[in-house]
Amino acid sequence: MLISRRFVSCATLFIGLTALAGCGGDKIKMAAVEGTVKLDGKPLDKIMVEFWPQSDGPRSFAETDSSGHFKLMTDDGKREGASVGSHKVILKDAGVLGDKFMGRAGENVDMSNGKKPRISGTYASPETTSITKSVEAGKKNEFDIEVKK
Amino acid sequence: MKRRYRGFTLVELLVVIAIIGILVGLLLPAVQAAREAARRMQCSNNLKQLALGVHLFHDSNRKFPYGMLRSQSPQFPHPEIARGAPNSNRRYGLMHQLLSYIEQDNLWQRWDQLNFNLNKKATPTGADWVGNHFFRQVVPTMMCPSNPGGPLSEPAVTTNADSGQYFRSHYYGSAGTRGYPRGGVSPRPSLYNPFAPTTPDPPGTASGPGYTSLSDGILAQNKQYNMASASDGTTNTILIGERQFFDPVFDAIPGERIRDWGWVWFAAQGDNFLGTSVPINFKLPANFAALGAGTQQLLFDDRINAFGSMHTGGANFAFADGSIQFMSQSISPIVFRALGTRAGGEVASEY
Repeated sequence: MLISRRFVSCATLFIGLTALAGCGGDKIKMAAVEGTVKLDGKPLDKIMVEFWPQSDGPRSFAETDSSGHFKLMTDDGKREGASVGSHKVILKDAGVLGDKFMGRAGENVDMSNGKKPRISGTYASPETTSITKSVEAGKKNEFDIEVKK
Repeated sequence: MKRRYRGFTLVELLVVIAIIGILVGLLLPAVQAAREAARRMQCSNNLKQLALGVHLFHDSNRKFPYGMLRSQSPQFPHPEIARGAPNSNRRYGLMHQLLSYIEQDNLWQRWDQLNFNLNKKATPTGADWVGNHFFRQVVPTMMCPSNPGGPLSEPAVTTNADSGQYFRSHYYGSAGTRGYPRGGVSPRPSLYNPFAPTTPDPPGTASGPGYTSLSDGILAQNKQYNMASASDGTTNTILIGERQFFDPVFDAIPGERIRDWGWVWFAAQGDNFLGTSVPINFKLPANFAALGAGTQQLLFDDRINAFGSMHTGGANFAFADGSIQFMSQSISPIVFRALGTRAGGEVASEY
């Protein structure tokens, strides 16, 4: 009887300590974000959408599909959505970079074949973009983004 | 009197072993953390040496060094041609200019200063081809002890005939928001630089119309700035930082390896510059292969521009005032971006 009680208390202590060691983690809160990008009411495909948090947090991104729809993930591809809080939204026309990924070989190549970006370059920088969105915790955030040329 | 020698019971022994086990379990991670802390400290010391080298350079020349010096037509004309130099064969990266200021003057003396091509691997005729001693020269000050892999890039990549076993630095100058790619080819400029088509820099400067190398940092190609040009304040302008060399998704792209970037003596944008328009420790996302070609290209360029390190949760940075700071990777990307520009006019909030 004495033996088993000692053993049990010892095991409890050990398990408790191991469990403690696994505590602690990410403090940044995330929330799901989806939406569409449209130009003159028409959906835009192949737009790279980036959410840049104005306070601490990861950058989230997604590309729009043929119906202009996007669903954000953090840029490490590990978590869905964006961090809770205010974001600057950056849009880049990835469709203008061609259909073939070139990697390093793309350094000095005109990948557009004369195509012009469908949206203004002012959307490509956090300093010039006119779009800010606030991501709220505990709900699915949906943003319909209307852009100008 | 039945037992004269009383030993330990099995349970008592087990309890002792368990306690020792717990103690070791608690201690081992602490030892590993201490080792990493030491490596991080050595890394920040390396950065300090390099930042001091830059300041000594500034003392001697009244200017910061070139981010890199290389003639690339038409965007980056050689600055010495305008001053009457016979040709544009002088070419070198940032670290080359610092050699004399970090006690590596002997190495600097061996380099052919006037003709880059004499230092370059021309014909591999054994171990003693011209320039081999230089291009493979390892300088410990330019290596972070936490970074994986050896000092030399691995044997040639099949897709790039020019690659060889060159020394790879772990520290790069800050080109401001973006240093790669070279650009100058439509349509990339308008993607990256919204001001490009309307308010170009004067001709002949590195950030001429539409060039993705925005030249808004303290270091730039073919251009030298001084302390006064850092109107954001030298305390708020990043000078040098690290690159992370661990990226399995990047390495999975056929013909590409992140370890092939950073040939310090080579004077190319991707080997000299990083930019702050990409979050610290950015790596290609796991779903990279499933993305569209254009998005892949944008993320690929981002990765080449990304500061990062193998230290936990952030990276070391040297600022233009010579201070060294460890910055967390969870810093707002907007604040981080502002720290790259030398004259962006942003108000740097606390970080």
